[in-house]
Amino acid sequence: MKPKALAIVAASAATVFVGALLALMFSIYIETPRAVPFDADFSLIDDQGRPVDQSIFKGHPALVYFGYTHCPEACPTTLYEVADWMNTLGEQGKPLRAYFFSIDPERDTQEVMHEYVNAFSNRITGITGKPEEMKKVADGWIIHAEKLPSENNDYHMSHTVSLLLIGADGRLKGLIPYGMDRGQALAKIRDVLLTHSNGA
Amino acid sequence: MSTITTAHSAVRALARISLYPASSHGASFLAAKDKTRRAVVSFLVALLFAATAGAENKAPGSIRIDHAASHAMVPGAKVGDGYLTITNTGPEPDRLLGASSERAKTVQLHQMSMDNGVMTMRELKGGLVIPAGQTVTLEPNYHLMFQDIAKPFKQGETIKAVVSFEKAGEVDVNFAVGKIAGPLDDVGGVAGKMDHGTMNHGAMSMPDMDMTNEAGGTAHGDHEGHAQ
Repeated sequence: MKPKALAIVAASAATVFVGALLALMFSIYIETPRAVPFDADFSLIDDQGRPVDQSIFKGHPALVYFGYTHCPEACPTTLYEVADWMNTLGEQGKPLRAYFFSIDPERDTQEVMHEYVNAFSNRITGITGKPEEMKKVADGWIIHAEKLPSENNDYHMSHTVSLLLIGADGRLKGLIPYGMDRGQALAKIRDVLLTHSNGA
Repeated sequence: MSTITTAHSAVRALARISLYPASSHGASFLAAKDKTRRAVVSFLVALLFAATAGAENKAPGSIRIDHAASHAMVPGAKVGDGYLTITNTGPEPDRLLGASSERAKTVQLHQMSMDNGVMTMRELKGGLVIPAGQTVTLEPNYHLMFQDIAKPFKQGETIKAVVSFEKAGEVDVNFAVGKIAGPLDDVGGVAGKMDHGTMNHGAMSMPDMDMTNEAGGTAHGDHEGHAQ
């Protein structure tokens, strides 16, 4: 009688424990950023008119951002921060590249992009081209970009504002959410992109 | 004035720190956490505003505007922004309806929202309520967007605009233009001030606002510090 009750209690406790453990493991699994392999071929141009394809993500760690020049807030703020980070990282940040992909390539011509990125830093490369080619890159990195029409045939873009940290192996190593504290962002870039000697 | 300034910076710092944690997660995971954090931040912001509101006591129905500032426009950029802090020192709520400026064909009031790491800007058509006795800072959730600009905003200049309210009417506001991005703390000062109904533009205190160079901004900051 008593041992039986004990056994039931023990069995229930064990079940709850295992259940909780599984739940914990699952939540950790969900929260862990996975190294998403980028798998798309595309053909675009940089702000100097040179061709750009999928090989741009290989060989150097890179800060990759998708934005547009009509962007009122997030894009200029992010590029401003990227320029500051690149400067601050100095010698250690030498292998680092920074790419600003236009999610509004119809308005962001090569000339517009060239002027725009260089206002922040000559180490940031602007990339634009055909909308359908740009879509391949954005989709490849699971970047959301959507036109929101407003009056006078104008539109804004609703878009992912997290910055992608991409390793020299072409895989996503992490994200810098918009508005992240400067010190934390620098520590993260050092940690995930510059300390594993994967900087080609 | 100094109370508001302090609260303003504190809120800004708070929003930055709390909304975006150091740890990295997949984009989809950010959503739930963001919402909770936003709620917590909103609550704290409300508390701060409630605390500062008591310290300000002005004529009924008056609207005061502080920290009006814009970023210099990046070459290639087509739009300009405008941020300001609005204090309703009166006993009744008012509503920010919109703005206009000779420098832009249209000026829209925008609301920014973040969901799942995706930022969306929408025009706020119904205006923005400024509750009685409270201060509303247009950054980071709201901003004015200047569109169709013939002459890009340059650092150091001042953009004259008229901001309209449902009850307080039209208020002249001078936006001090700072650097191309990043915080505008160094330029945004007292931009405009008016009492309800009087429309006395001459009485608005906007000294030195045209001198928004580095030195001017610093001097202004010092002045605020002493006022505490």
